[in-house]
Amino acid sequence: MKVKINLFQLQSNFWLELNQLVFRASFITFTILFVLDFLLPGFVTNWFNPIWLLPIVLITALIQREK
Amino acid sequence: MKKKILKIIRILLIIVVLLFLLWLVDKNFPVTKPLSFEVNFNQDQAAISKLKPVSRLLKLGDNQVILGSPVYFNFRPIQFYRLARFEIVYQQNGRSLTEMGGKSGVGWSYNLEKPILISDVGNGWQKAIFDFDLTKLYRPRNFMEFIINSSGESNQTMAINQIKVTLYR
Repeated sequence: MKVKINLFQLQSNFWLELNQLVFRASFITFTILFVLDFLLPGFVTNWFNPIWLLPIVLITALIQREK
Repeated sequence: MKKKILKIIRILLIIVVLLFLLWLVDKNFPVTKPLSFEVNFNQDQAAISKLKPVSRLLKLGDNQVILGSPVYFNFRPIQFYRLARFEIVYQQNGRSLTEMGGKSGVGWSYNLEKPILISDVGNGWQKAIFDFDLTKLYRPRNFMEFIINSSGESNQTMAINQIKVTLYR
């Protein structure tokens, strides 16, 4: 017996919870990277600019507010 | 079903973040080799800038030609490292490499050093090595400034093929 998973038929609540997960992960990562680079300048920003995480944080935060 | 998918995604996100943090630690404290940076003559990098000012420089193929003295670049190492070893691969066309300096205070204050070793690398190219104690250098906004001094007439040049810095604790 085949089990078909159609992601679009999942409840809309699923996408909101997923959005919340992505928001938490990106916000916590951004905060950790920001604090790390504040304490040790260059530790993060010599290799990766954490500002790239901000659009993800902002978009997911806005979607959460809409909820 | 929905909860299971979300749980898997949560675990995956935690793994990705942890792997990313591990990657950062490995980048800053490599296990197998010392941490090193190389000047890119075409563009500034986050840790090390290109050579400046442009009025004393000329780009020729892969090499940077120095027309005047001094030229400088900025470097931003993390504070764990105390010693920086600079390796400059250069070719003298009348102009000779005399010394290198690290900015040690406000204004025109540089800790100038002669090369500790100069070796031939073939085809007229030479490699000069300079050591700097990073704890003695000035670090405004976490950037250090280094200058390269050369001597020669205004029509004499020096080509630089590589500037590499290796950090030691």
